[in-house]
Amino acid sequence: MESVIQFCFEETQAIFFAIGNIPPFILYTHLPAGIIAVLIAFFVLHKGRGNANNLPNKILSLSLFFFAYWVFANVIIWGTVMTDVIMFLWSLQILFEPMVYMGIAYMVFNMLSGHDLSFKIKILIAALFIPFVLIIPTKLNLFGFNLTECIPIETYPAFYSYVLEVSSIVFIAILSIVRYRKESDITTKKKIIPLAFGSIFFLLAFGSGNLFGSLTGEWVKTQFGLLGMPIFAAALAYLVVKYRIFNTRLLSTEVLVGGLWLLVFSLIFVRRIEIILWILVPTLVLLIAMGYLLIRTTKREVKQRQQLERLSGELYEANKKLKELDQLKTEFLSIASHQLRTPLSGIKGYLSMMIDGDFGKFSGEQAGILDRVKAEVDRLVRLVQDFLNVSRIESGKLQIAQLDFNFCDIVKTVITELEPTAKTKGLELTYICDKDQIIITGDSDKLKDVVVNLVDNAIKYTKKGKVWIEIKKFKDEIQVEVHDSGVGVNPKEIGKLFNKFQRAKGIAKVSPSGTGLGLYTAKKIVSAHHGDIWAESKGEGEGSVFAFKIPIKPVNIKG
Amino acid sequence: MAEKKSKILIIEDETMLQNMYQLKFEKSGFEVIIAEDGEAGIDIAPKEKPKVILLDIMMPKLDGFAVLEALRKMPGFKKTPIILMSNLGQAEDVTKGTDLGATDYVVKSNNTPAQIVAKVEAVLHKK
Repeated sequence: MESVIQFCFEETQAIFFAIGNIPPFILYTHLPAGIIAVLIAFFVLHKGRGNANNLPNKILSLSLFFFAYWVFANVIIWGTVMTDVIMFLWSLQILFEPMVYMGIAYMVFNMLSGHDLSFKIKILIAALFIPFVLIIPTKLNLFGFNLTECIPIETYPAFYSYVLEVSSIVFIAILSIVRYRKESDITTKKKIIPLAFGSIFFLLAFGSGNLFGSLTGEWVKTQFGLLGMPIFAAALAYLVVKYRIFNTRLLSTEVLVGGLWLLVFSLIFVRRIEIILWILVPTLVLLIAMGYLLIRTTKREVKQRQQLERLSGELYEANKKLKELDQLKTEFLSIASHQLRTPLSGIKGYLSMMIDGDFGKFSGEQAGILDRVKAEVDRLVRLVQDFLNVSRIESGKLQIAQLDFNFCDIVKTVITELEPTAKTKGLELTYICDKDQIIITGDSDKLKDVVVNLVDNAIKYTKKGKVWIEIKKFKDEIQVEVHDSGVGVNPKEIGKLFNKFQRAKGIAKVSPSGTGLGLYTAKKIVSAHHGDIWAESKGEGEGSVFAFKIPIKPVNIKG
Repeated sequence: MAEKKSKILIIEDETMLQNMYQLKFEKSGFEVIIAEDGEAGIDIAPKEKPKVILLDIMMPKLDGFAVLEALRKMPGFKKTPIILMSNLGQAEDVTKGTDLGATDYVVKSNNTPAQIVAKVEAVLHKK
């Protein structure tokens, strides 16, 4: 009895608490638990940074910081004889302890439901808690100090905190069971078990230790409750590795190794052999579990890195091949272009010279035939041009030159080229240019293709009457209209005309030839000049107008 | 038609086209010199001193761009009209040609010999 009383009034050392006073078992149970809690709290908080969905991270960190406070305060309480220090730290323990439970319950709720508590519920919980907070620093909480045992005397608030704690555990259990039953997804179901088990075990162990202590006064033995912390950590580690909770992909190796160091280090404090044996078993279990997780994590990291390297290599090869294919395509286009057009140049050239009379005059009939042959050759040239344009468009290689030229000249050339064809069908082919010279910046060859396509179509689909071109100059743009008195187009079909390989319904009867590419390429070329192309027709048999407008001086022309 | 026969150098590797263009230009009153490839063209040009040069782009060994560059560096050919001919018609070729100093660019299959003669005459009259 005397020594107990003397113990309480014994002079302390220079510092306000001494490790020598603390039973080794206390140090062994507390230090790892506290340090693990702090490490996990920082780790999870760090992982949540910058993430939208980091509420569970924040809640868990906060709860674990409260737990860590509890643990380290407890160590100090064991190591000091200063009653005011003990009273202060103990009262805060009573405050923070239920917050650990409620925090874990909140975290589980958030992870299982996927959303936060409503504001009303938060207010309700605050209402349950605030009076408790107000009572903590008063005599209504700790109304005295037991000098015999060197601990404060607790009353109702301490027991109220146990009510909050038990309610939290029950809440987690019920919520987990309900969610487990409701959940149809197997993966989510599997997540619920370790989460619920780990949380409940940790809180139960923690709570039962304290409850027993409060009831029996055997505070040393009941510190086993803190061993629930490493179990909780293991459950979280499992969830992180398997299900990537808390936005964490891999459990950091540092945390696992740190944990292992701690466990082994804490064995230094255990001197009594009977306790050593009792402690080594759970330590070994934890070592094995952590070791297994560590190996698995490392293996996974190595595998992922190897996979990444392999994929990177494959990507490099695929890219190289794509570049080669692209080069081949460009070369093919050039070769095809050159090889097809060279003989065509010869045929067209000599024919035109014959028609011009360079080899003598031809009879009317002969001249007529020559005209028709030349018209077909011109058609062939245009076909090759169309196919080449489409190839270039499809490969994204359509290039648009930016040179100044007189648009009226282009139209004149087109008229000259297509006049024989029009004449054969007995059609009138004329043009009206707003001015003699309309100078624009663009690709004269490509725009000539557009005009040729439109006029050729107009001639093809007109049985009798005329085809005429109007070129209008506005302030910043020109508008080119190709009018015809031909078969017209059903207004419902107009939108589809400019698609690839699209021809109006029934048009094959009027003109069997026609690839459906002309209008498609015309649209692409006009778009590349930042212009618009469209068609108008009052209906079948009512003729049509195909028109386009382009800026006179585009800011930049895309290909 | 020019009173004094204007001399034109045609640098073209395709024999059929050489004959066709020679025929048409001679009928149009030009004196025609043919070079079968780029190297021959660079060799002949300073000797014959043509008033205008028609230059094909796609030729083996030395292409038209290389010949154009070489000709422009020669004394006496800095301002000679040089018209590039091709069956490619790609915009980047036109730009490249213009940058290297070509006077004009024609796509062979899009133009009859008569049209090419007209272009050459127009360029000579501008001089």
